[in-house]
Amino acid sequence: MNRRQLLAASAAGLTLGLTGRGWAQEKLGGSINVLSWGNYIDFALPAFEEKHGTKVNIDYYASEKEAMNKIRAAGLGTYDVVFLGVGYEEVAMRQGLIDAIDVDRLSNFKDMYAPFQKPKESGQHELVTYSWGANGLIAYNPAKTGGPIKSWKDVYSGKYKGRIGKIDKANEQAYRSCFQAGFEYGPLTEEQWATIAKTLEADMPQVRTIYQHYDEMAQLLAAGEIWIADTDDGGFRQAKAKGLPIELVYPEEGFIAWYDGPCLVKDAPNPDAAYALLDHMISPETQAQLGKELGYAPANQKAVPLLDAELRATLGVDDAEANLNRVQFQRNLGAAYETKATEVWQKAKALVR
Amino acid sequence: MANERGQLACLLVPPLLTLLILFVAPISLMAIHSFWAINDDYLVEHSLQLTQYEKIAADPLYLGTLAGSAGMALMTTIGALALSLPLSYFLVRFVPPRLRVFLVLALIVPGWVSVLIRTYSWNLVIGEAGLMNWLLLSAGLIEEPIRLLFTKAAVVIGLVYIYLPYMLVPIYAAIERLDNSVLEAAENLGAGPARRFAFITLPLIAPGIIAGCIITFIPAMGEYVVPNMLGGLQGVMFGNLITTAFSNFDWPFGSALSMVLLGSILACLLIVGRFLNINRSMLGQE
Repeated sequence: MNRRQLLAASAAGLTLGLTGRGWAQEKLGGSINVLSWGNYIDFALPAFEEKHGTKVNIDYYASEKEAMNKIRAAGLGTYDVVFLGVGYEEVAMRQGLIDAIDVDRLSNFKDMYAPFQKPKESGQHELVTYSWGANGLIAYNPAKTGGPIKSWKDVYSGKYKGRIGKIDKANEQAYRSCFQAGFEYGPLTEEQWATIAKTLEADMPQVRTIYQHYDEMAQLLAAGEIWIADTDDGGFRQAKAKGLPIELVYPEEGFIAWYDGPCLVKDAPNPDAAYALLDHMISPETQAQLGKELGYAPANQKAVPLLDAELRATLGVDDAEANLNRVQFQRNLGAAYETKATEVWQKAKALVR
Repeated sequence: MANERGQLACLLVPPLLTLLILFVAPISLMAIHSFWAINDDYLVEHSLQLTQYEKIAADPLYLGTLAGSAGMALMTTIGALALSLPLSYFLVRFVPPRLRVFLVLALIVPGWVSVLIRTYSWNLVIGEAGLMNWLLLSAGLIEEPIRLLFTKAAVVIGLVYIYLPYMLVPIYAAIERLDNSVLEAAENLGAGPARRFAFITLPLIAPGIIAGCIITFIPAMGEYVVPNMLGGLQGVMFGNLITTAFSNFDWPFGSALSMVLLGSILACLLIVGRFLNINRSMLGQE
């Protein structure tokens, strides 16, 4: 072998070695068990499976509490990743169900909007943000209401009696009424709860019906049973995408922001694949697809250039940075708060009956 | 003798074990849960307490909703009975046996379809832009659509529709078992159709009626799907309170509510049993 041949062979060997190493990193193989809401992350999984050769077994749940219960029931060492949000990651951490995330292992983390890169007060990252948006909003059909709606005061003015729909979720009703009554979001005193109960009691006779989820809201608006409805931004966009002639209102009294994302389950059987999935879910490509498929705003700012101008306007991503700095995020206020909210909401519903 | 006892044990052990595992154990677990509570982190605290029952007793919401559910279940039972009795009588007395089988099947087969789909179909029928209003408006019988959806009446209509086969089958079987010679004897002795129905047919088919009423009333009282889909705010029943508690993962409170419902149904059965001697009626004995 002459010098030239030796150099060529070395270069080939080096290339092969590097490629092989790269391939080994990409193709993780095996499988991971993931807990998520239904139809929320499914669109992103085929690309992940193809890239890493890892099969994703997805298990659905209806609420964060159900997810935490499933992890406890199955035992640690069963699930790898769980999607949680609005403070439930803190509860799951306190319960020893999830581990802190080493964000240095996520190549896309540095591209997230600044507020999503901040660790918790504990200095740890318990979750990486997959999506975020606003809740406590109003959807309405202007053709039916005959004019614009800007606030809760407008909704419950008496003009739309029997044409209003409410979401049947005690927590949501608590913070919607909280803003309506002029309070700040957060823990409430007994007097404040009494005011919220009164606010709901005054509103309920004007309500036509309640619904469990935003698909149902879209059906009720489409059938003309209701003209005005409680919504979040994603629920509104999905209804609008079905061709409903509805408008979205950020109530003057206030609204709240939500966030959610994947967490690393403690003792995950396949942690490397779990980290790869976390990184995949916050990649610009997946985040852009999230906006296109489900109408939720991306948490990774590099996804923005991948969206067309119309979708950027719909999702409000051009103002995302400014909005993120002024909006208040929902958090977990504990089981006692939820029990009280449920009590107040059940009583308000019973009054109508 | 010992051999007979062995055979009896072999026959009894499988059903008794099944009952123990699938019925006694879950209800006992639920009863135990009802004396526990959850902490602020949604974890169950395993200390015996009466907190959940005190909460139910202190708030009129729970007992009021229980009474309301009993009322709805009673209306459903009466509605299903009012439809099943003449229908069964007509099928047995006036329809040829070969056609009768098809008609009974036609009434039962829709029950094989998911209750969600069947209830949702009512949504499309009685909704403001639904079939019923379209027909009435097209025929010029009404000027404004009737707002029936999300009312108590809608819930009762839905429940009667869902539970009709539960009432129909035992009544149909009881009427089919009727001895014609007894009715002929009454006729020969001068009893008219109304008298024959009131004094001969009705007492003889009473076991079927009672069985139908019981198996309609009990599930209707714990119902939550139909009230949710057709009743909206007007249709909140005790089953909906239980669902909310369990979906909040407040298992102790959900268990306590379930135990209250179970206790109330058992109390109803005991009271009715005292008056009507249910055991005999259920067995079809005189």
